[in-house]
Amino acid sequence: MTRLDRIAEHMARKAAKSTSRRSFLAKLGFGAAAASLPLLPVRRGRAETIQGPQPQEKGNPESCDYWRYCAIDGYLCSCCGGSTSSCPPGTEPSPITWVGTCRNPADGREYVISYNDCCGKSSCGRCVCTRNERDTPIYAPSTSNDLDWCLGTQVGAVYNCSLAVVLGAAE
Amino acid sequence: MRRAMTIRSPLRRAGAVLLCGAAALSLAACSSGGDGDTGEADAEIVADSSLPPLQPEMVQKVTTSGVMLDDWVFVTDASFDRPTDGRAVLVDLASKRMLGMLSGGYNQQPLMIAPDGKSLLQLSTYYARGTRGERTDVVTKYEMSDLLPGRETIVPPKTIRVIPMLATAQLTDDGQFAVLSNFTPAQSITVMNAQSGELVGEFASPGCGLVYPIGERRFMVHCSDGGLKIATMSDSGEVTFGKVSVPISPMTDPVSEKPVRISKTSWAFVSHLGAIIEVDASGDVPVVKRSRPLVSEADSAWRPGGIQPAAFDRATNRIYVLMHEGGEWTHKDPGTHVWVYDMTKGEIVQKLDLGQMATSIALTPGPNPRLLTIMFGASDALSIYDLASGSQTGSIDQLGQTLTTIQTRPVAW
Repeated sequence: MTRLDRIAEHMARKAAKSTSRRSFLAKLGFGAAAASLPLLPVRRGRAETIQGPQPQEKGNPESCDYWRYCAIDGYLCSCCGGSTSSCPPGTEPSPITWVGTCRNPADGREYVISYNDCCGKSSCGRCVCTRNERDTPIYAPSTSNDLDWCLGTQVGAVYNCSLAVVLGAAE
Repeated sequence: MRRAMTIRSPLRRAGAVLLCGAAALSLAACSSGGDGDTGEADAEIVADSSLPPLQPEMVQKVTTSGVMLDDWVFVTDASFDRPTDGRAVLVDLASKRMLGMLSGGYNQQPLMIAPDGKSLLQLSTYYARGTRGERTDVVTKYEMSDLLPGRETIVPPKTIRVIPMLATAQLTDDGQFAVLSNFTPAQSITVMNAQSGELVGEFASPGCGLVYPIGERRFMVHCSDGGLKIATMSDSGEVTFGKVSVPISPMTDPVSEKPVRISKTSWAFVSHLGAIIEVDASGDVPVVKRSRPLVSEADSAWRPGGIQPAAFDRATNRIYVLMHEGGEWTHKDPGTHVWVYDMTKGEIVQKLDLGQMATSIALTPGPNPRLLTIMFGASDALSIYDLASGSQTGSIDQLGQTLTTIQTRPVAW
């Protein structure tokens, strides 16, 4: 099974689980985007309580060479008041996005990573990072990092920064 | 009586610095003198009271020749770190001066320049409150003579927002219709009448987007499996899509969505690994006419890459590809060289060392093309190269911090 197949399968599973909350996905021109919808709860609290990497991870999420960023293209939310999975205050995560598959050096496993954009303020401008592992041209949009994914948000669609959310193991 | 006086006092120098800061000019502009630097700025000026007094002046507005010339180039700055301030700068290669600019709103995409070079359409996205609020997508017409915003057409607020690339919005060959690619992420095509400004409509194109013109009433779209589909337009601009082709390249080595047009009905695509794939769209369904490797085994470390990575010279039937030495997943990396592939001979005829990195290239129209390059994020200059000697002959700087696309005068097919 190829990586793309695994991603597609994973995305299909995620879509099936979340259909009731995301019925609008039926309108999408490509089914694969459904997989790129991690649950992104609103975090409330002091900055130090923001969800960051999980304890067993290694590396600096404010560095472009952090393992989750293997297919990212943009400003790292970890440097902008957010984290790898939390949008900075006053911005809203894009409900749809592109996905990549990155190898976690700490456990040797590959994970599907969702690169949701955070939207509603101008570009953060900090920690710009472009890595293109398995990135595809935009005619294959679900795995393309060139697109502005600030689509369908409520507070506005201007791009601020990018998350790198673990969706699950790739296989 | 002649009375000499030095006017470059310390106070005036301090005032000049303050003026630069107050005017929000860059330090580079203040220190270098910008385009108008004649090299005389530091010379002592001796006042001569025998000179006739200056006459009062009227404030004027500059107009241009009214037609885009072969030496004129639009360089787009997506303003990546301030994305609502997109812009396109018009420069003259002959005088190496900036002629003017357009402001383009959020995530500025390339311009749609009329075939006669007398006007252009600019597709822009704006939010009611800058970075938030209701989104408006608008196509604004500019005359080349004054660069003033003119007629506006409000289009569905769905146009694709992406790292700028030429295929996001195009004119038909006769300039009659503007064809816009939408992504919400449902994909569709918006058509507007470029002559009257009337919106024709939106046409669903599930799984397919981007616009590659192939005639007065035909264009191709690129589909998610790598296939291409021909769209045919009626005289009123209504779109009908044909059948999708087989993928023109495997997804293990996909082609870039930044191809170059090589004839009225054919395009050349470059794959991540360097295959040049010629697609013929003269029939009902696009077909791959020929696929040839640009990169030999001996050069297997070299890859094409960049934001606008290829250009084509019709006179010589040669394709110019921006190349770098890199491994897997470097398909967007900047290039250090331009390889010139002769489509007639089927071989590389020149490898041009740029002496710097570049993310976009273009060729000027006309019989003796020059190569133009820009470098996203690391240089604010447009560089100019002579193809015969392979050497850089000049540059125009301070054009922007995140330069993305280069557009020259359109050529007729």
